[in-house]
Amino acid sequence: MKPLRVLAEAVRTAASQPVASVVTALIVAAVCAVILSTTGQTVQAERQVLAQIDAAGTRSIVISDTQGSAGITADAVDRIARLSGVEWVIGLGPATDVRSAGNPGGRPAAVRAFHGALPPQVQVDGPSLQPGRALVGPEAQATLGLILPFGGVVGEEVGDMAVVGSFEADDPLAFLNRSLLTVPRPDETTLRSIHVLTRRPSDVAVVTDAALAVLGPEDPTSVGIQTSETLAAIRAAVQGQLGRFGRRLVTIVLAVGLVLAGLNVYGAVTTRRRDFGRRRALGASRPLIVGLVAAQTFVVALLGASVGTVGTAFVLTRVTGTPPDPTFALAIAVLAVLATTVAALPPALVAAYRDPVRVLRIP
Amino acid sequence: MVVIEGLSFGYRRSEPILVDLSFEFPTGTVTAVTGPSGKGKSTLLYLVGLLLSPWEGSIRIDEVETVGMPDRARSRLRGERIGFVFQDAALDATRTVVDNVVEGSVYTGMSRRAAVRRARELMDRFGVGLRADHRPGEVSGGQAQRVALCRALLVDPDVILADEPTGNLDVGTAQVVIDALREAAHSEAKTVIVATHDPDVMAACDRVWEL
Ligand SMILES: Nc1ncnc2c1ncn2[C@@H]1O[C@H](COP(=O)(O)OP(=O)(O)OP(=O)(O)O)[C@@H](O)[C@H]1O
Ligand SMILES: [Mg+2]
Repeated sequence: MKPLRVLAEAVRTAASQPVASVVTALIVAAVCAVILSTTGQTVQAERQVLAQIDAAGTRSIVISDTQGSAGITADAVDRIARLSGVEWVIGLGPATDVRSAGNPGGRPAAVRAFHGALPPQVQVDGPSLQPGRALVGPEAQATLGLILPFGGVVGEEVGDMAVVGSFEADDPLAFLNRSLLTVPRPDETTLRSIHVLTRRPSDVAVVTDAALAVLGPEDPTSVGIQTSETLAAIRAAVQGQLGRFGRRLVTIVLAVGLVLAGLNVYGAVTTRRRDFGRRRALGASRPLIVGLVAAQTFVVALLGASVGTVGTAFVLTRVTGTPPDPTFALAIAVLAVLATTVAALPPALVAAYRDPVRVLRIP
Repeated sequence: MVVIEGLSFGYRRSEPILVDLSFEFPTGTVTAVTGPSGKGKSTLLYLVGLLLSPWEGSIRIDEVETVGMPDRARSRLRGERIGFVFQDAALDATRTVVDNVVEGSVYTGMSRRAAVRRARELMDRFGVGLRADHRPGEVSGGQAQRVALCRALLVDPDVILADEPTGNLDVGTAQVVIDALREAAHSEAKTVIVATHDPDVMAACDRVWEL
């Protein structure tokens, strides 16, 4: 018994029973289509909700010196950066006002010195900074009335400063867009706030405690902390709920598809009983009969799953603008093919164990 | 050589059909099994063809006991050493005639290319070569019977079991089939067992066994 010949025979048999094959393929295609267009969309929705919650700062911690008397120093940034569970940390010095040198009567914007490396949430367009040079955020640029992100600004505390480029920050640092950023002079070591992003939402509590411990503030009453433990809890709840709902739907749709496909294969097997009697007489063993029916169903299910998945993906992309998640779609297609093949096993066993003589006698 | 000894069988416990039969079918001979309708001629062929298992007794093919063999071994013997011609042709109506003839090769591992080549030879020999690409629904009953004979001869079996192989044939074509069976027995040293009512067939066989 050569598996390839059996597979070829299975394909020929499937082709010689077009109605049964098309019905099985349609059932599998429908299973894939239903799951992709319902649960697939739920999965997509869950990803979006979670992304929004994450953008809102599920993983962020802000430690600030509310009175200006906590005495938080720049070396705290390095120490927090070394804590496990920390993705990045940045320290910000006090804010001071500057105005455009070309328009001293205009509105002021704040300039802040940052300590540590800029995280990927801050996109910089300009040369590397040094004291006395600044990058301007998009809102600050508008406030100052700068047409291009170049020019001079003046302030009472910083004196003259050159704007050499621009930056744009995303959540959780989007508030920086209202300011200018510069690097501190060596003697500027005081921080007003420290912003931390943890690797996972569940790291927030531990990292907060550890950060406070390494901080050792002079005046603990002046330290304010904002974390997102509530958001993390909401996030966990959303993830669990949507996940459970989706799993239940997938299970139900697969079960219904499995029963329908099994009945269809059973129908096809019983209407062609004589075939199996003849095959047995010509030397097919029982396992070969089972393999033949399973392979036939597998081939047809594979066809149905491919058509169903590709077709639904195409339609969903057209209608919603976003294609379904490819990993999810592939997983569902594989699951549907396997489930249908398994559903073919009981009818296959019926075919293999039926008395060949009895079926051969029926003309 | 096929030897049966003390063979008993019935489809129902209450209704024995074959009781304590013993017989030898030597290699190189054509044996006719005859008897009234319903006596169990087809049943005997199914037993020798390993499609049924006897209640009691032994069936040996070339000294090998087949009673009690597991399904896999029986299927293998069926596929490689036994050729069946059924009372009706039992062809697959959805496949072409040549596909029908080569079907057994799928189960025995013969390559399709070799099987098709041999199938065409056999079909030319029995006058159905021109019908190779037709469906069984498009050939006559006698042609279907000959196609079934080609299918039985495809794997070059040692034992040929033919159930009323000339039932649907005119005298001339029946003679072609009988000659083929005789030739298979005499020049290719096969054991041929034919169930038949036809006196002409019986006359052409080497031995006649009346059930
Ligand atoms: N599945 C079955 N259950 C019960 N009895 C059966 C079954 N199959 C066949 N029989 C009976 O077994 C007996 C032998 O049948 P068989 O087909 O072997 O006869 P036969 O000698 O070939 O007859 P014919 O010359 O008409 O072909 C018959 O009486 C038939 O009715
Ligand atoms: Mg009969």
